[in-house]
Amino acid sequence: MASGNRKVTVTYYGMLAEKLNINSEELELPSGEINLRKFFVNKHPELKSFTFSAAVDLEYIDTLTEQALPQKIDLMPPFAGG
Amino acid sequence: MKNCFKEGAISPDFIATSIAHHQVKTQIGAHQIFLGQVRNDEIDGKQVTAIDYSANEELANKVFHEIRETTFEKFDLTCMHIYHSLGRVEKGEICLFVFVSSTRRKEVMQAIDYLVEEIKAKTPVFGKEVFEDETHVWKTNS
Repeated sequence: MASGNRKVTVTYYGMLAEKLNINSEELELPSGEINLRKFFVNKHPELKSFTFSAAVDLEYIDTLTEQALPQKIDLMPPFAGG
Repeated sequence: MKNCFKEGAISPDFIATSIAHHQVKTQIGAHQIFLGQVRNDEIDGKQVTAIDYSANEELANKVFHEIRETTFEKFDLTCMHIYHSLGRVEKGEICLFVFVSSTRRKEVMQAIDYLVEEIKAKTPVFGKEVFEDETHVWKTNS
């Protein structure tokens, strides 16, 4: 189990930020493996009906390993570029 | 990391100047350009008048870099440029400019298709479709 600090900055983008009415927040993650969708839907039930992806320290990831000590998590709605 | 974003619409003058800059690269025999333009879709009876783009810029520029590297590995290209708008782009204006060059035409034709699909699928860019009454809906790529 990771023994370090699991404090992260979470940034919400696009329609997620609009829905939650926040752009970012500081969170202390629990220990152990974390399914990011489950974790954030539990924290913000308003996100349940939204499709979103997560990036942890600039890598697209669905599940945070038990050992991970991330600095930042980005939660993003479906992309709309081009 | 190169910044691929430009504030506002990508002007025809900017595109023309980019083309002109390649005239000194005389080993090039073929260019291919993709231009994404804001379309005035009708949604629930309302006309889209603009798209307001935002992005996870740091991650998007990293993804653009990775897409560029992969595209250079897959195709025999001389050069490649990607520009995407941020902020408000009015209907009819250009929001994406992708420009590839090579000695031969088949490489650029295949590369541009690959590049545009990769950009749309992997780059964290978000868009609000803004109506004439300034209400909006969020756009998602199909």
